Amino acid sequence: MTGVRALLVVLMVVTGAAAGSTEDLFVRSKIEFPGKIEDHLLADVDGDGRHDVLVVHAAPGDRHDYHLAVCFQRPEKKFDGCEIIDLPEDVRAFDVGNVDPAPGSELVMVTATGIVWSAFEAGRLGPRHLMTEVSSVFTATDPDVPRPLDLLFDLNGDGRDELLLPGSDGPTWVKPDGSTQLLESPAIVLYRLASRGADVNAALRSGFQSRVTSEMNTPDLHVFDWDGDGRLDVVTQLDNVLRVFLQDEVGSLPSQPSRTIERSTLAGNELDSSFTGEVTSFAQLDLDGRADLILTKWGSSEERTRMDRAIFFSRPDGSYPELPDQRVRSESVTPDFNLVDLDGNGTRDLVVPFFHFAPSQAVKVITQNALRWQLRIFLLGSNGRYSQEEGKEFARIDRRVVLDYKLDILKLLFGNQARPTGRIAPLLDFRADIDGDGFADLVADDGGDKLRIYWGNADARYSSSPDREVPFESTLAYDLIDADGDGRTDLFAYHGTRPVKDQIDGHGFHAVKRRRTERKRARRAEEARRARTQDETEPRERVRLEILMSLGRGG
Amino acid sequence: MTTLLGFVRTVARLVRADVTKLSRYWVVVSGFVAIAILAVSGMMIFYRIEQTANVTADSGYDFALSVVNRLVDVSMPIVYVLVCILFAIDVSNSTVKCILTRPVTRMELLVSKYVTALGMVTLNVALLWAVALSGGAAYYGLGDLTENGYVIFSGGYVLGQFALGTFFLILGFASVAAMGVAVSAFSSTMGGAIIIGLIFFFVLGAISVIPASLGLTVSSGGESFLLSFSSLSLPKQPLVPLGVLDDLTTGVAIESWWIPPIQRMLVVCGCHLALFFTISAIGVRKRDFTL
Repeated sequence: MTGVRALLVVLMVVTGAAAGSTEDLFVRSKIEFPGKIEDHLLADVDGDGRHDVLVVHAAPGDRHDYHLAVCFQRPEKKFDGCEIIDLPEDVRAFDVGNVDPAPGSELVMVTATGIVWSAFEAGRLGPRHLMTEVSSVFTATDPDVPRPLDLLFDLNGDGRDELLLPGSDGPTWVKPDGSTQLLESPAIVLYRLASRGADVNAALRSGFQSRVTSEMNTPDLHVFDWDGDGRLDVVTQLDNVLRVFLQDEVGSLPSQPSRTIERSTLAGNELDSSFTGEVTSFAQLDLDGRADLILTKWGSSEERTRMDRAIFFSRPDGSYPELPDQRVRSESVTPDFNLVDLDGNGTRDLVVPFFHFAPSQAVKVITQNALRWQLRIFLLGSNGRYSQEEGKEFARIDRRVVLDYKLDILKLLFGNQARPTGRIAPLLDFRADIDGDGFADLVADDGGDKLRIYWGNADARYSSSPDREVPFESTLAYDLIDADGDGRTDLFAYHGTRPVKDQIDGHGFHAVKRRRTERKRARRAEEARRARTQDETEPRERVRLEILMSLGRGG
Repeated sequence: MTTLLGFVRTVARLVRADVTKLSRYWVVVSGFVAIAILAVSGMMIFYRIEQTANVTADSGYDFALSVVNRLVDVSMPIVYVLVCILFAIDVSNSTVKCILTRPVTRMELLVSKYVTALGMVTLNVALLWAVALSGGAAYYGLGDLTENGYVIFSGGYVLGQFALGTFFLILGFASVAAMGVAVSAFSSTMGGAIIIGLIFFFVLGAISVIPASLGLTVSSGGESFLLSFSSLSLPKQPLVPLGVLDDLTTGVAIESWWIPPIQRMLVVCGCHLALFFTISAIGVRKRDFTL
């Protein structure tokens, strides 16, 4: 692949009204094109106020030839085609945002030598413009998969995005006028001496310098109104250390952190256990507009399967108590949790996925092909605290939602579905308002190609059986977002590869007893297809997207 | 009505005779003693493992349920082997000839064996619960079911649901025992009954390792359903109600026991029970016990 070259591809797209019960709930689009999915991004590329889908994928049969598919959303909530754009070879990471005065977004690319941007121009990228030559963690790196990275943020709210670039000393803020400012938040650099090759060399000779392998961990970077003054601040997070750069009235940021916050709930002896871990997160939980801290601890030696979430509410002066205000305890597989306003009172309620470690779960997998999950809901009351009785150590669980997730062991072990990187998890999510009534609905993939929807309400009580059930190919990679600005959440599901053999059978990965004549006919059809197309690659890789645009309950 | 009453009376007399006979037969007594020893030691080891791994139960009920779940798997082959000798013991000792010289029909004899098998299964399950609940009470305490210090269900409610779950557990267990009686009905020696019985037991048990995604896809009303081969695994069926009970210890009330997993279990167990009863009825009617 040399330079930027554009190619408009007419894709096999199947778009149409959804069938059966989904007709009044979603407009369904299915997109499919050759390639192997690597990553995805939602952004308004053409500036029409609607989100479009961008999919990074490798060309079929060539793992190092990367393309960007841009699938545009049409006014009638449909996606009826994608433009395939070759990604330049030197791109390491990219983001889509508004960096020039012209309408529509631009593609900002981080390369090994600097930052460049190009406009999208009907199936191709426009000429490159240099944004800055400031060095970043990507400087002088070798090529790999170009991935989306949050680089562009509208810090001052003027509608134009500015660049925050990860670096070894901290993020560099590239301002609209091209000037730069370092926000000091140094990365942690780990190193390792020698390698297997060095071991071999050491046996042959002495007195040589062995290889040094190093790994740089730059902080997570958040743009967030930390102090509730209505202006966006920059927050970096590395391990348990949060560095907050507060934006002042004139829109400038300090080079040194305005606040450095570090809390830990781990006792000294707990650090000895390799199972134990802790992660800090923050969110505006109550109505004071300031960030509150949530520390999740897992695998401690005292209670192996328990995960405790310690909550530190911010004080009016922006400080935090030394000891947590509340603790939430639950068993869990992962430290993930959700913070969603379920009851519509403006505060963020806590949703903790719960999995009971018990022999019955194994039996359930054997006899029912399913795992049982529980979503535990802790409601944040008007007093700014989760329910907790006097004298109790932990907050009380207010609601429980039980869901079975079908687990196809064969598909898990032998399935060749390529999956995008990033957050991969079953779709069991409260962050949706499908009907646009202001209450969070629960959308849950049942693992067996059905999507279950439970309507939310002011009481945050969800029915024990789904309110709606629609066909939906199960996925582990999805986005839930209001993609057309109508106040209703839409669903984007990403699938990677499906072998041709499977397309012929048309019965997923389940063993289906077929008559011998049918099998023969399918094999002959496949051989004929290959002879026609002279295609010897098998299986042929396909990128597939399923998009459900909500119409609300009334359609 | 009189005929039915007479049938029941005869069956009851035969069951009483079986119980008397079995309670004095050292193999059967040893079997139940082994189950008791396994239950107590297993429960203690289970607690020890929990403590060592720092993965502890939420409550005494949670602990008891986990113990029963494991012990059902362990004790099932033992009880099954004991059931396998029910007919064989009479045939090999020639006592069946004496029984059949009395005014006893072959069907009454067969039904009495099934009732005796049900009694053995019930005794086994009761023994497991007694040990498990005692352990739960000793290690964690029973009382009301609590979580993080909050009462989620009263003790009475939990025990009531445990009783319902046990009823379904015994039904599942009984269908496994029916297989033992069917094998026994065709055997002349106890050794033969045990060997043939164990072969059937492990073959049906091995079906459970077939991934549940493998099966036959059946279309009905535009929707397709997968009938998993692993659903036919009989020895795993008694564990289904224990899975339902597991909800209770995680704070979820059991609104109904008439749910698809239980319905499926009842269909599988019911079909197996009918099949084994038919096979054993044919065997007992056709067989010449005078030889």
